[in-house]
Amino acid sequence: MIFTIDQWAWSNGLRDTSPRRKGLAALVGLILSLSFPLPAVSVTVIILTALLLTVKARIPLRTFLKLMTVPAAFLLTGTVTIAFSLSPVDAVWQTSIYSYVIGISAQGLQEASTLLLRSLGATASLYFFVLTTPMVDAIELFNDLRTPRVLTDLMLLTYRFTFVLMETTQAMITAQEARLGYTTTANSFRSFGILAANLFIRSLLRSRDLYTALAARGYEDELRVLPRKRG
Amino acid sequence: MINIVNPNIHSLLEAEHIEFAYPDGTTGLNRLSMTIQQGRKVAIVGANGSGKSTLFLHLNGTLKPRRGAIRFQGKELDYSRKGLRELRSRIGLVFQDPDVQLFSASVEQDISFGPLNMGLSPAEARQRVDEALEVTGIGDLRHRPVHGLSYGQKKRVCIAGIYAMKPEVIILDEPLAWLDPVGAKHILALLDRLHEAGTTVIMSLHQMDIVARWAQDVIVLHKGETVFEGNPLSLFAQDDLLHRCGLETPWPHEMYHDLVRMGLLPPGEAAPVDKSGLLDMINRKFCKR
Repeated sequence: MIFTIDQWAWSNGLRDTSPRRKGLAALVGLILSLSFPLPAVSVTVIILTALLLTVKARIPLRTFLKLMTVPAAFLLTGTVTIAFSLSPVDAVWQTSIYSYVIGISAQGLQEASTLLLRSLGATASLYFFVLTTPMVDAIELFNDLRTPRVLTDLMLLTYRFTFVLMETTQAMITAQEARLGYTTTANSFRSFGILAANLFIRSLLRSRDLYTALAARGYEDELRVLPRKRG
Repeated sequence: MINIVNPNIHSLLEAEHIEFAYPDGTTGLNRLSMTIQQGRKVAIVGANGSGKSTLFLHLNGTLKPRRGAIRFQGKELDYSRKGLRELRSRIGLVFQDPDVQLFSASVEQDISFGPLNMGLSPAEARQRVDEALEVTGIGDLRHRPVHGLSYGQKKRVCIAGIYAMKPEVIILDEPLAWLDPVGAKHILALLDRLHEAGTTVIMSLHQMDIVARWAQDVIVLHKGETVFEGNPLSLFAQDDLLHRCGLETPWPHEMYHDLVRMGLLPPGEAAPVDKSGLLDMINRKFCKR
């Protein structure tokens, strides 16, 4: 999922739009969905987001919907409990277990669906930002917003080296598999332990090498880089 | 040490009896001395673990020798913050593993790092980035994420990042390792262009055919010592030395000796180090008319 988002962020139709504008659009959507408990507002936000993503950013609707299903599943399990209540007054549906009456009240159902839609609207707004803005541009925006440099420098390095770590892990697992590292449960546990220990050591060594390489290009206290030029 | 370079030629970078040991006890450098002259193409060769990378880290002031001295333009290196900043803006080091050097996920950002650290204005830095992208032939990668690049492309981004700083000396740690033949050819052409523009180019490599073709000077390291300094021709004449250091001779050179042994070519001539030299000899012998 992370890789889907990252790939689209680097290759969508809105990539070169200023991160400020995209951030503002996402913020407006977020505020609208969170502050108006009206299904109409949330649905409008979701539809507008889908339109912007498909028409402007040229991201397939299917990709967006697929990404939405993940938080939607979480939200659904969270909100479904709100719909249920003990001895509902205006029951849409109810059942009795021993002496208790459990059911879904009309009000509860409405509350649950409103909450679900609001959360989905907010999620969609955030998806709009992350799907159209490459991480390096987002970091540029955080710098413009006066985020402490230590944090944004760490973000820059974390983002870059996430991929290096993933590649290293993948290569090591492949190499272990080639020597039958995961053929039995016992083997798998042992191999996984070795993998974790090695990744830790490698990361330490790599961070030392990284510092040397940065210093060779004059690094002193902060990672100074040029902002992207937009035509 | 054999074949000491003429001391009258102006030396740019020199190491004198430098010693270095790693904290775990392995000897890095053992009273190593060497001289690099301005504007040359220098190949540093030697088996794995002979001290090439350790030497490079000394030349840009990352490591400090326990004994001995390193001089750049006749002056001993200044290890103060200010001194190192100046040194590293004049001596660029390209690391072997691009994933160590590339810290930003944006190609353009990564290349702009060095120039901005040198105190250039954003406008100047941008100009340097544009030029570096153009010279290294990766203009189309400008807005691509680093994690989506091939190994060869990453390697060029690394070189662009150093090129953008316009150092007087550029040191490359095995820039040809893991590259396919076309990729290697691109890098060599790029290095030639840098050399023509007046940069002193130093690189470590293992392919002796390329040493023969490309280098003007060769330095051979063996167990942390310099065992040869001179031109490739005189190096390849020393079979014992090459053998001792675990190095090979270029194939035309070996071929020549085989042909002499078979009685097809006359002995006593200087052995050729490249294909055209060998072809010349065969031509002279067999196609006299």
